[in-house]
Amino acid sequence: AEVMSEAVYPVVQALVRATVGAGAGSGETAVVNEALLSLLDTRAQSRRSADLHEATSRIEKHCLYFGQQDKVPAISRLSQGLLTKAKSTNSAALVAYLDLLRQMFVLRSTRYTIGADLPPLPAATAAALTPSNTLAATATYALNTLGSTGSSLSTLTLTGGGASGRELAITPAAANAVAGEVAPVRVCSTVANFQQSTVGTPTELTMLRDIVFSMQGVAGTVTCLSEEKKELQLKPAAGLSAPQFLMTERLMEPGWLFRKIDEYVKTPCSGLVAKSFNCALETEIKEYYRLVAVLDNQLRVKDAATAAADASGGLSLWRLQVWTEQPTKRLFVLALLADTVRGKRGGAVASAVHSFARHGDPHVYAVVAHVLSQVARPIFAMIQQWVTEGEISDLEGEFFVAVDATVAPGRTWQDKYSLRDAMIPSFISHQTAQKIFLIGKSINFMKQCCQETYHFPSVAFNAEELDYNKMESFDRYISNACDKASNRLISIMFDKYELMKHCVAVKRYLLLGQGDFIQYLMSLVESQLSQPAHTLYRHNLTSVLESAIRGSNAQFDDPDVLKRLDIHLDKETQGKTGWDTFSLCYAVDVPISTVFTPEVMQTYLLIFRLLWRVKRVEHALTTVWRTHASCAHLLRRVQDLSADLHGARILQNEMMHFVSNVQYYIMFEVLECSWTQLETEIRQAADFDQLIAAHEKYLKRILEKALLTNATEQMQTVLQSILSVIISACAAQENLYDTAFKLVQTQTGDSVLQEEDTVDLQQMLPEVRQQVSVTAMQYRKLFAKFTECLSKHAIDPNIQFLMFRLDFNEYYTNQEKHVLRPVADSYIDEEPPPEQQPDAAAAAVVSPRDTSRAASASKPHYTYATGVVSPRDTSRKKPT
Amino acid sequence: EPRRKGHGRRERRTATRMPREIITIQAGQCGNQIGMEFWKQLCLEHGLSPDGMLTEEASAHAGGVGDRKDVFFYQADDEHYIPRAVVLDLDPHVINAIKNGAYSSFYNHENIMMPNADGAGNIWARGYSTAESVHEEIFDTIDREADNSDSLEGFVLTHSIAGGTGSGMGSYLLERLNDRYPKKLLQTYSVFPNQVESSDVVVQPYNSILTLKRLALNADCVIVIDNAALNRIASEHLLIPEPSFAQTNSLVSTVMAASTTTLRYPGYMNNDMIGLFASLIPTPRCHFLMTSYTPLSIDTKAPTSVCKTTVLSVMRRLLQPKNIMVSCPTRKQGCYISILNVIQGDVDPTQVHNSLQRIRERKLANFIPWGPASIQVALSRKSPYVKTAHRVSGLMMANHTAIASLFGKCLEHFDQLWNRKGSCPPFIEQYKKEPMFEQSLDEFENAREVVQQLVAEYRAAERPDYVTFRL
Repeated sequence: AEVMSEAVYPVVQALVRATVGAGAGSGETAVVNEALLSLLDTRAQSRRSADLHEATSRIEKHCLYFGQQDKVPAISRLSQGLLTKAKSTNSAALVAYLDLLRQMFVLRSTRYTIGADLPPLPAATAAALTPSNTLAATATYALNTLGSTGSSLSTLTLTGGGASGRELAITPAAANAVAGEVAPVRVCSTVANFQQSTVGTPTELTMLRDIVFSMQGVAGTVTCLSEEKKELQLKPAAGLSAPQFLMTERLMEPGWLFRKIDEYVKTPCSGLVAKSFNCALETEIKEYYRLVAVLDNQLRVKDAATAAADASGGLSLWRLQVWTEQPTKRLFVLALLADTVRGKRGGAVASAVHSFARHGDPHVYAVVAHVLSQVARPIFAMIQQWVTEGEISDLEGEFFVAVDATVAPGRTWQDKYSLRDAMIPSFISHQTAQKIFLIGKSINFMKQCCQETYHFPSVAFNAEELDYNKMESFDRYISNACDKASNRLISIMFDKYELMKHCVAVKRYLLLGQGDFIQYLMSLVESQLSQPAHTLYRHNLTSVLESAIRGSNAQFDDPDVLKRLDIHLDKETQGKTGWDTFSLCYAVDVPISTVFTPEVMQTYLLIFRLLWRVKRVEHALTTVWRTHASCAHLLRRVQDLSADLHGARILQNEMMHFVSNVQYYIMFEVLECSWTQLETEIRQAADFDQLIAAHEKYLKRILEKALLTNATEQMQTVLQSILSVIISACAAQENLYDTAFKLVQTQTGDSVLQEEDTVDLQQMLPEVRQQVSVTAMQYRKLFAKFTECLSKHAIDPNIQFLMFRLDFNEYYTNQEKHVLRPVADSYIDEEPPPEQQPDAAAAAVVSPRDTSRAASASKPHYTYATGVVSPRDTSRKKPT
Repeated sequence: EPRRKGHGRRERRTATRMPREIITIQAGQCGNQIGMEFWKQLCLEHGLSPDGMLTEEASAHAGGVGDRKDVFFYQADDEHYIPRAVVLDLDPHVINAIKNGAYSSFYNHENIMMPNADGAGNIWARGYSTAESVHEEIFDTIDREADNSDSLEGFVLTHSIAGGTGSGMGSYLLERLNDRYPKKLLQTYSVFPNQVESSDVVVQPYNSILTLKRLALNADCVIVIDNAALNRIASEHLLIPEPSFAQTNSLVSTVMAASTTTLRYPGYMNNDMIGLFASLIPTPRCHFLMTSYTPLSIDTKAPTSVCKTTVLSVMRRLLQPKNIMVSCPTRKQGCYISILNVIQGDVDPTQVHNSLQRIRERKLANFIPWGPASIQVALSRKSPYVKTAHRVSGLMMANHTAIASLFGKCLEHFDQLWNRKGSCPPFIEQYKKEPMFEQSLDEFENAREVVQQLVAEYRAAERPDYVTFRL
């Protein structure tokens, strides 16, 4: 209807122009002025079609009451003109003609005379009336035409008729069609019925009585129930004149609407909201009954009066029409509401009713507002309970917050409650609904999970005083309450449940922040974790954890934190060592577990694994460094090994540099920077959801930066391989030092070895060297691959950070400049990827198969990179 | 599900711990002076009073403030903290001063040893042989301290290389500790004499060369403190015209305390000595580190302006030669083998990367061409008991090849003295009295060669072909 108003407006303008013209020409000043005034009024107030309809029908009414007889010829002239036009088979003109006809009948009936100048129906019109070309379709067409080409229609009428007052006849009819869906059909059926009505005219009294009966749904003399027993109909053979027929039919509308509403009310419905809608309808129906009672009473007066004298007092068809006009409109709106609401539940009912609340017609608005206030009452009661107590008493599932009672306590916050979008009444914005949802959820969470009572800080709102088109104050109230509830919940999480303490604890233990503890733990579990995973016993490790806590500064930590710290061993142990299955875990309970959900903990586990592995590699490297440091002054005496030892140290330096810079990168760029951001974001979090989101974002950032996402999977794989190779390299170097140390002992005569052992030692030496050089090659190869991977992602600033750190003195950049890419690409590809057998890698290198292959493949490698190995090469050729 | 309810806390008191203890051995006048300053600084940082009790402020924090006192201290039965320190001197002067001062009850008195009250007379050989003669007594004490630790990490020796006691005794200790505790780290804070000005100890070059040999062969890490640089920093930087020993020693104690801060306030990394040095010392012989610290202040009336400290400004200043506590041309000559910056204070971790980037752009540090190297940064907490005006402070420990020039100077001075005209080198009689030099003076030649080799290795480490280096 609102869309139509825009299109109709030009028509109104044309109408106004025409009326002014008519007023000046034909002396119908009173009518014209009245019409003009009301139209201008309408124009000033609203452009809505309903108002327009109102205005136009008022003009129509004026014509009816003060309607001067001399107007009839004018209209008839217009009809003639239109007929001429209709002959050119313009169906718009045809429709206009039909409406005109109706208008004329109305006018004629006023006078109870049927003029002889009634134009006969042209053939074209008759054709239009046949069932094949139904009038409903024509009317719809008219409607469409009006909508799209309102101005052309008015142009048409202007050209069609000579007198300027004639447009009056057309536009109201069209607007009628616009206002109610029923109208066009009724217009058509009227005409159809008129065609058939021929004989016997009942008295006005009979008609009046029948009409009052019809208002109660009871059949009378001229009315009968239709075949489907659904609707009252005028008996075709009741002998009504055409105007009578039309009038009666019009007056029977309230009855029809009443039946419709009554039927709806009597249909059983479920849900509080729907019931209160029914209740509102019933109240309205009571009003209607009162009207009927009054009319009935009037009818009795009329009965008496008829007996006495003339029809000067009491009820007449015309009076009845005037009196029932407002109630009919009211019923019409109610019936419309009932139709819209049908089959809907809960908040959707309220939304449906609210969709009429923007009606420009104050009467319509009043009806809708009343119904709406009734309908909204149960919803507001639910909101009230939810935002003050965090409880829902919603048996029928009508509230826009749904509850799932089966949710485990750990997921209360995330999964127990959800928002039903369809049930949000349209007068509550989605944003406010979200807030309402959050308030109740927070209060409920505080009660259920935090053992906190929460008293709603301010007086609750008054649902009765709400204006459904102006919900600002309600919104303000809700967002205020939301802030308070959220703040309270956040402060409970921080103060009572020490969320920050747990965050720090997790960072300290699962993200290895407590360095001395981790170091101690590492040295304690080292030997155990090198065993196959299935030989590990949880209780052994638990006692080790206990010692690590006692032996480090962790002992001063909160006992509550320490008792939550535990060992986690993967269930899957097949072919894995302890290193692969071991991790630390941190137990949390409700409500902290809302932040540290099992998924979040899984992520922590993932990060822990990487950090722990890097730490382990660092540990292995420092151990080798220590071994060398402790015997360096002795090993100096073995001249023929000095080059090997030196080379080993150079490689160690490279690996150490790699590992410590990866660690520095993880520490600063990944952990600390993310942590700083987390601290800021947690401080800014306005509600618990944001708090959780901040923490999840923190983890996501760490994952991304630590190359643990899918996007960086390749890099992660290479990184893991490098770490594995370093472990093997460390083992190989330990072996080298050990052999060298034994050699020194034999040379200095300190040895406890037998002579044959010494010979063995000499024989082993090349093999040991081989190990060292193979691991060196593997490492450098993989490192090159890693930097290659990194440079592929060089746009990512995090990767840039890492690259920058790894090549701080541009050693690798310069190296690339001077040396061609390695020749031995195929070498590594043949090799089984070291990451598959991380700890067996060291052992694998010693096997003769590998040794021989490495020996054959190592030759081209000497051209690569620094040429570290070349002196060793010469030394190897020396007879030993 | 949380486990281990109730018990635990009680057990912890008596259970073994793993502090990675460090035993400090202070030898000679200089060694004891800087040692004492170091302990004073540690007391300050851990909230300990001179008698080893917790100060009121510190006892308010029952669980500590995240610091580890047990690395350097242990607790006596009455709960007062006793330093893991062995005090050795042949001259009663300094020891008496300690015994009569505020810290009289600080050390374990059994650990204060004065085997010979005559002094070493600045003769290395005398210090060495005296130590040898009483080595049982000394090692009884050291062994006792070592047994007192659960997981001894290593020894720290504080001494000077110029005098008699610190250098001679120190040398002896280095050799013996190396044999006796091969798996333990041996770190020294070695004070190098001011080689610019003439010294009152004429035999200083002899002592230096002989000690340097042991430092090169037996120590795992030597932190070089150059008296000349200390004086320069004090006079030029802190505007103290004639700095006293106490003043320069407080500089040394600042550096010593800062270099152990990551051990005492554990964080992500560098929580033990080995983690600290393993990345700083890639090849075993190049283990002489230089340090710098900023912003420096000496708690005297000397006006020290409070400057703006950011991570970048601190890291820049640390690289400036004028702040480095060794007089050698780090900008003009040689290159850094490794750098570790320990940054303390209120630091935004994001600044670290930016600062590193800036330093690389400006090429403020020149690195080795034969391997990857970078500035490593460790962020460390600041002691809550020490209030400073500066937001950020930093310590640099660097392995720079230019340190060889210091050894070069030692060699030069040695050669000047050794090759003086005459039938035999001057002032040699005193040495000949001791067993080591009775037969021959080969030890001098030998020590010279070791130092010469050390210089050669540092020179080699400046070249890309260092990877193929062979002695």
